[in-house]
Amino acid sequence: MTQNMIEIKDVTKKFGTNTVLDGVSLQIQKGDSFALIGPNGAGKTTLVRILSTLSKPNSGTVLINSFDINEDQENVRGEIGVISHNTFLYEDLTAQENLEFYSELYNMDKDQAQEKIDQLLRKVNLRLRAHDLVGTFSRGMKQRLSIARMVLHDPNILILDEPSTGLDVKSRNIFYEIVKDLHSTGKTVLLATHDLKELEILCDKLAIMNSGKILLSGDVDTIKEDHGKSLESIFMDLTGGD
Amino acid sequence: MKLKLILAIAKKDLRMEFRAKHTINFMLLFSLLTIIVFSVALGPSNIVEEVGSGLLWLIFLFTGMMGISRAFIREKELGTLDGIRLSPVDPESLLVGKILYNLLLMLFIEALIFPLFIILLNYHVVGNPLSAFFVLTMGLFGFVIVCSALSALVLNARTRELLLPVILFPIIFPIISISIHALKEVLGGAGILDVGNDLIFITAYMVIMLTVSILTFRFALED
Repeated sequence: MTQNMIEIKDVTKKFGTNTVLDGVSLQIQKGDSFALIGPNGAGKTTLVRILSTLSKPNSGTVLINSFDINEDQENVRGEIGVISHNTFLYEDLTAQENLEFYSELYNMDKDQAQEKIDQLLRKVNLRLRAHDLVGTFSRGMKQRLSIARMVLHDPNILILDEPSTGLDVKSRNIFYEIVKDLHSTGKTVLLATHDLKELEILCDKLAIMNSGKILLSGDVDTIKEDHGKSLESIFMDLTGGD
Repeated sequence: MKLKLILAIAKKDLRMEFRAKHTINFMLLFSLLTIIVFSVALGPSNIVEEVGSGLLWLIFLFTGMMGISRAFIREKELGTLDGIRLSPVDPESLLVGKILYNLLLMLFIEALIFPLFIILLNYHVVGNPLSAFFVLTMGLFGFVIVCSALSALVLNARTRELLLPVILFPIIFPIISISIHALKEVLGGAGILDVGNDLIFITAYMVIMLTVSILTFRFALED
């Protein structure tokens, strides 16, 4: 039986009287590369913030690799690596210093962290810029460094919230290659995006969201086959072209 | 609460501040300009010893508010606060790390501004200047703790920079008034033991405010 890495049950989130998530339920299995798509305001980012422990649902339960996000935040945070359009990097620190700081927050052993930082900087092709201030980096370089930050503590689940926003084509392709490479090592990937092309490059499963609800979920190829249409047409039909 | 995390957060902030000097330059410049204004306004009068400790606190109050609140606001503006919250850092370590950074920053400012104030205002110090420095430091530590905690509490408010002084002044007033009194006494020749009750009050206030801050900070960080 395949293990559920993310299990969302009947999650509701309200901001004042505005219901942003309305009884969302979803299961993402180990090794899945899963996309959460929807138009702006669909509730993707709110759901991602809940999964990342940055926000709490008003009702419902969320389990990350069996850890409850409300009761076991520390373990949940060890299981996930998050990247968004915001890099979470300090521009006045060097690439090396940024990763060292985050390794300290993850309570990593100093020698082990140093080795891992070297290895990751090489992987994201920033070894030669390790001692340069992040403020001098291009957007693409920052996002690559952000990937290194995300996987520094070797999380099982990678949560990507519109990660390619603002990247040029070349940086975007490098970014996709790194994510695909990480997925091939067995990591579970959850991508929140409104870019259908990105979805098709990175993911094999999806859920379409609109107005805080999951409208459709399943295997990308199966959905396309069942509907006999392109993903874009299905998306437009379901979301009313919002 | 973990010492390693507290030190990591304070070290990171100090490294960034002393490298980029986003805040410290403004704090020093503001303090210096205010000293010069006071110096010109008071002239060669002998009321400096009467009002000096109050004026000195006025400088640190505004300088402190300018700099201390930035520790959290900068993280919020950069989006890095979420980066810290995504890691398994308990909120209490984050708060104490920020307080430690602010304490060291304020100590640095105090070490430069206090002697300048004495010299430029031609303050006739009768007592031990080191004792006066110690008394002022105690008061400033209390101020830093309250200001750091409150700046975190108003983080999610749109008008946070306007809101902070409004809620800070009533809470910080007891420390400031006691500290001004103690500082004036020590500069005027009293010993540390003569202002022992004032120092006990400041310490107790500091401990209470730190405890309340640690207990409530977790909720201030939530969406």
